[in-house]
Amino acid sequence: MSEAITYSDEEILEAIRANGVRGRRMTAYLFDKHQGYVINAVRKFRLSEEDARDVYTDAIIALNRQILQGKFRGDSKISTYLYSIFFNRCRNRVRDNLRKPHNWVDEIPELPSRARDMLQEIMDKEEIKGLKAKLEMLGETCRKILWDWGYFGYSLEEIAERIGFSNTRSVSSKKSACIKKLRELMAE
Amino acid sequence: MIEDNYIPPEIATYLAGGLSPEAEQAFEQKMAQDPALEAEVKKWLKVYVIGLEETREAWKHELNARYTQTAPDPSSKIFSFKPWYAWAASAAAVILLLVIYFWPDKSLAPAELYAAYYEPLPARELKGQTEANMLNQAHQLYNQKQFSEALALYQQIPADSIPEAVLFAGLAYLELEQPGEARNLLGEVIGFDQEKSWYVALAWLQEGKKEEARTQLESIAATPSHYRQQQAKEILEKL
Repeated sequence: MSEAITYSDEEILEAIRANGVRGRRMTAYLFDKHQGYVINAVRKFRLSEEDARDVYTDAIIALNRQILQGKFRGDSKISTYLYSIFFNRCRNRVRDNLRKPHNWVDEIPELPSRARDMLQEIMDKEEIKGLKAKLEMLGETCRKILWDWGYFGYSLEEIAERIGFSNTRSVSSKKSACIKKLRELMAE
Repeated sequence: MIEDNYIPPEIATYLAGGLSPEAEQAFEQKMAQDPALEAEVKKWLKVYVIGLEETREAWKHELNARYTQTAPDPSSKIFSFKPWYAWAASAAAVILLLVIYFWPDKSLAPAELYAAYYEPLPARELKGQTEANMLNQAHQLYNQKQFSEALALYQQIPADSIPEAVLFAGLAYLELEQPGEARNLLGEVIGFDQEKSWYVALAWLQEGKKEEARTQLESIAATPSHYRQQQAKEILEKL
């Protein structure tokens, strides 16, 4: 029987900070490793398993973002830090007793204060819905390329593999075409 | 992390917080005078958030699929019992349950105790002097959970004139999950002894330092007038 691979906190941080496919794989490793927290939360907070899983997945993504944003510097163990994020979120879920829309204002710390206010206004008025429909017109491949590039930091090679393109040159020209199309849509 | 790959460069740099304070102020003034520019920034901000949301949802979906794959299936058969084994297994299970039920150790992890006992200290607004105005602004940000911004303001307030600013700067660090910084600042607060000792104990818990937390909590538990004496005793029992 083969032994499960384990990684040190340093290896985990290094991979997540590298972002792209390595970061994603390491985040999935963390996800698998600490799934026991879900059962714990079901018992302690009397959350449904579905709710606890939802909170757990959110906590893993939040941990990934906090590592990327430099908010977590390795002062405590990753497991302790994740535990604290997860349990705080469980507590909030119990307290609110409902699933609130995600609070993006807290998750984009780099935004200047005026932009932060603007985002709050946008979220409060649910102004985003109309634009979502417009962006659908970009098509799935374009959205995938732009978001993979912009948010996950995937390299062109990694994107080519994800969307089934044979080489990076095709991804690069498709990406340029997608940006052009996006800007045209936004100008309408 | 806002990349300038699809958002127009000037707006992307602004949204990414990449402008100098002076340039940022100038850009915001320009926006205030130019509704078309403001609308443009707002529009790209929306696109950015939509991208973030779609990415996040796709990722959640991927991760949740892993949960289904890796979570133990409660209906799966691990062993195949012969009938007479079933009686022996049942008896063993009963004995095991009794042992678990009467087992004395019910200790919890420090981070878990932190999550269960941490309650934010309410930031109440003051009125009056210039420093108090800044404290008000900082408190507003703190109450809106904008802890990094609140922290930046608290740290501009002279500590000797308003010690409360140092206390809340420490609490902001705690919220930002930087317990070491939180403890350092809380140690510098003049007055607020009870709040200070309670949140230092919580900072140790957040950091996972069981023994240090225990020492701090024992001191609180031994002080009958301490407003958190009861909670300190409860945590010590569970630690």
